This record gives sequence, structure tokens and C-alpha cells, in this order.
Amino acid sequence: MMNRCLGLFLAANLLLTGCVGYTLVKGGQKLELGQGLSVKPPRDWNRRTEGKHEIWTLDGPGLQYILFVKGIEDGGRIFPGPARRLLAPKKDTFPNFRKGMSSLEVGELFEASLARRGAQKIAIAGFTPAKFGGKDGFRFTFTYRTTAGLNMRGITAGALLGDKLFMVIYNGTELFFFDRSKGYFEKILASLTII
Amino acid sequence: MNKTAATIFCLAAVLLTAGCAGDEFGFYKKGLKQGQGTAGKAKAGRDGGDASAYRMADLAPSHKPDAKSDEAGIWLQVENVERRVKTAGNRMRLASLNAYIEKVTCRVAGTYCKDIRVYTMRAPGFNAAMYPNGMMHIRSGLLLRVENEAQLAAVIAHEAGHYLRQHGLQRLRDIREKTNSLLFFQIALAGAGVPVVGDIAMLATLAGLSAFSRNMEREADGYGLLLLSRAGYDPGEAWKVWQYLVKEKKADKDAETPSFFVASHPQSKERLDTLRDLAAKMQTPSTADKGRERLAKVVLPIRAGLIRDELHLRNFGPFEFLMDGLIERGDNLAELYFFKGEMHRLRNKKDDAQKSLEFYAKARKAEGTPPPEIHRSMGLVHQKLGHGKDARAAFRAYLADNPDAGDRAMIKHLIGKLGQ
Repeated sequence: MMNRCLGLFLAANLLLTGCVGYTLVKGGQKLELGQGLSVKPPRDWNRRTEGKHEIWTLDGPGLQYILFVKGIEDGGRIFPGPARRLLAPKKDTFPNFRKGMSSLEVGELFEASLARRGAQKIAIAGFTPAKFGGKDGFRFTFTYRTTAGLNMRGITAGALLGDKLFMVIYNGTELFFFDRSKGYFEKILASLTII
Repeated sequence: MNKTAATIFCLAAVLLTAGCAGDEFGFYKKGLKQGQGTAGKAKAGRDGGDASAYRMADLAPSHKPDAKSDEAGIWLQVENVERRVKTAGNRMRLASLNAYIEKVTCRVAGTYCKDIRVYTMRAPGFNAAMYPNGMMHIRSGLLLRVENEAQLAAVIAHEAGHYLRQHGLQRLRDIREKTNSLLFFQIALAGAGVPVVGDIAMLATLAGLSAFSRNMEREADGYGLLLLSRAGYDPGEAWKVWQYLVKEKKADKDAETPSFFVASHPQSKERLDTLRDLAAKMQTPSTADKGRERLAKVVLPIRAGLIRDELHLRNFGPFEFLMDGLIERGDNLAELYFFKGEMHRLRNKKDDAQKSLEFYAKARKAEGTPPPEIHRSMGLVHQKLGHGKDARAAFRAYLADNPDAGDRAMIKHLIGKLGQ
């Protein structure tokens, strides 16, 4: 019995450690994100930062999120994650950003990265040149299905600036949450500035 | 997905499964506890052992544990896992493929066909896993790695061997006695709500930690060969699957060599020898069937997508080994040369750009049809090499071939820039 209690205690603690780290972003105020980026969100968001990545969500990242990729360099990843899989003995086979990549190659990297996260039926569309924080960049839309069978939809905007990749990725469930927060995302993206 | 919860989930889940077919590293391992196999009738030695020791009379499907037993709770969780797998986003729903896999399964499992349910999950790499309730998972990556239907049947027969010798049930008892996995499993499922195959690579890797014991693997090999042979397949194809896996693992030059991987362990050779000897002793049916064409008919239409899954890993050593094997077999060479070119383009090391162009050129001349994005890839390489004129021509050809391409606006923009 003692062992079971200890097991429960340890497991509960392990679960709880994954639940911390979000802070509140106040709407209507300009916010410095670091790496020369700033935005002015129209409403409050929950924010969690992990190195050069920053995740914002309203209802939970499983339902919708905005991922800020703040200037990853050669060898960096689009999506945040451990250097390699926990307890997994294999080397890290996650696709990495390489300096010198073109925007189309970044699109391929994005697709491969989503696939490595278990996404199925990935489709990228509307890949077009677009301003990103006033700089020359790109934009595309995407859809995929999660391993749980949920259909997701998203928009990616980004730019390659001085061998670094900057991106803002909006992702939400096709049913309800993508549409619900898309307007907020567009306003945040429009407010983005890069020094 | 909550990382910690997923890990706990996986730890619990792997205790209930055995990712054995993919774990060439999981076979005949040292350092882990030895067999729980209760039968022990089939003693396979280095000479392959006695083929007559494997009898159909020794086989029986696992039964649902008594509702009052401790195992019943774990069994219930396995049934929950199966419910999740049924709706998983990466479960392959291609009717022709699923009907084919079911046909092969029924051919090897015979009267036990109704007890075994195979789910093909879209994922790169090679793995198969058998659960105690009759649920079997195979990864789609397996379909690229088997040369013929007999080799696919060999993997399914091996897994069926585990099931029909009730190895999973024995493991449940072992788990119940030695761990709190039921508790872990319940917490993980309730707290994380993660899909069972959410991180299939990690799951499979962790499975190596708790794979079936050595004796169980030997039994599954022996009974698998028996099932294979009885179904009219050539049992001499089974060892070739494991040989392929060992070679592919060796092609992963950059891989670390963890202590519990035994890919290069001499005992892997022992396993191959045992399988080969045993197959030779088993009566090979006069019509020993390999079924290369039947497999190709099902796999070729979906092969490009499966190869892309492998390429997404960006693990170029094993990928090249896989591609070279497929090229040797020779179906739709245009497609295969294209992906070899893609490998060089994405690896982007010294001389890779030039090599990629060479393979794209081969793809355009070879038998079959290259994927429609070949000119896009050629354009990207030419652009990188500073071949403005060639890049423009390739991008224009891509747009002509793919008028509805999702990246049309960007390609047109690039053509404009290249023209400056």
C-alpha cells in the first residue's frame, strides 16, 4: 500500500510539473517579446516562453495557440521541445532549420516538423510572399489531422532575416476555435514590429 | 501534449505491449530478465532446434481474465486503448490496404483469425506490437521494408505466435506482481488524455525496455514459422526480414549505441541463424508462395507517401539504405530516383546538390512516373547553385504541370526575382 501511495504521489507531482509556466499578457499594451520583436495584442492572452519560442493561448494549446519563433539559428527547431526525446535512446532526428534555406524550404521544414509531431494529412496552401513586421517575408495556410483524429487549421507568417528564421504560427481546431480566434491573430500579426 | 504525462503513459503502455518485430534490438537481449515462457517445449538452440517441438495443439488465444482478478483491470485498460486506436488520426483507413492485411492475417492465423485484429498505423520506421486482447499494431513503414507478402506474413505470424502462446497475458501477471503500472496507466489516461499512439516512436523505443523475454521471442519465432509454413508461405523468407532490420540499423552511422540495443550484438546473428535453420527443417510447401506482386499491387499506389514519411525523419543513413533496397527491387524507378534526389537535396552536404540533379535526371528517364513536384525540386537546387536560367525553366515547368499548386504565388515571385 505504501508503495502505491508513493507511486501516486510521484505520478501526481510529475503531472503537475507540466501545468505551470503561463503568465497573463494584458491586452491593448505593446509588449516586447525579445529578439527585436514586439506586438500589441487586442485582448488578454496566456503566455508561456521556452527559449526562442513563445506560446500564447486563450483556451489551451490543444484548442488554439499562437507560436512565436523568435529568430532560430542554424540547427534550431520550428517547434519547441526537448533536445531529444525523453528516455529515448535514439539520436535527435527532428528536422532542423539550416542557414541558407529559402522560404520554400522553410515550408518543407514546417511540414516535416508537423509530421514528426504526429500530424497526418498535412496540406499547405496559399504560399505567397508577404510582409512580416514590415520586412519581406512569406505566408501560407495549412491543415492537418492530429493523432487523436482532430482536424486542425492554421496560418504561418514568417521571414528569413540574417540567417535567422522568424515565424508566427496560428493553429486551432477546424471546428470552432480556429475561426473564433483568427481575428485576434491577424490583429497581433499586423501589430508585429521587428527592429 | 503534456510531456510528463505522456511519458508516464508510455511507460505504462509499453509494459502492456511488446514492440518486438521492430526491435531487432529487442531480441535475445542480455542483461534483462530471462524468459517467463511457461511452455518451454520448444528449445531452439544454435542449430535452430527441433521443428517438431512447435505444434498447433499448443496454440490457443488469450482469454479475458476473470472479472474479479487484478489482471481484469489492466485488460480493461487495453480495451480502452483499442477504442482510442480505432479513432486515431494515424490509423490507415484505406479499404484496399486494410482488406489485404486482414486477408494475410487470416491466412496465417487460420481458425484464430477472428481473435486477432490488426491496425495499420501511419508512421515511419518498422514496428509491430501485439496486445494481450488480440489487438495488433503494425507501422506503415513495415510495408516499405518487406519484399513480398511472405515477409509481411512472417511478421504478422510472429506476433500471432506471441498472442497464441499467451505471452501478453503472462506479462500482465508479471506486471501485476512487480509494478504499479495499473496505477500509472489509470493516472496517465485520466490526466493526460493522450492518444495511445500519440508519440509512436517514443512508445516503440520504450517498448524495447520491456519487450517479451528471450524465451517468448524464441517461441514466437518458432510458432510464427509454423503458422507461416502451414499457410503455404515460404518460411525461408522470415529470417530475411530480421536481417534487413539489422542492416538498416547498421546504416544509421550517426546513431548512438545504447546499452539495451543489441542491433550489432552477436546474438542478433544467432537469431538469424536459428530462424534460417528452423525454416529449413520445416516442410516447405511445394507451392511455397512469396506473393511479391500481390504486395506490390497494394503498396505501390501509396508508396510515395510512405517514403515521404521516412524522409521527414531527416535520418539520411537508414533512408539511403531503404531507398537502395527499393531501387534494387525496381518498381516505378522514376519515383525512387526522385526520392533519392530529394535525400541529397535535403541533406545538403558537399556535392549533394549536384547528386540530387543527377538523380532527378535519372528519374525523368527511368521507367515509371516521378512525383509532380520534381521540377520544383530541380528549381530549388538550381537556384541554390546560382543557375538562374535553369531554375526559371524548372519552376515554369512545375507551374505548367501543377497549375493549382499551393505555392504558385511564391514560385511566380521567385521566377520574377530570378529574372532580374
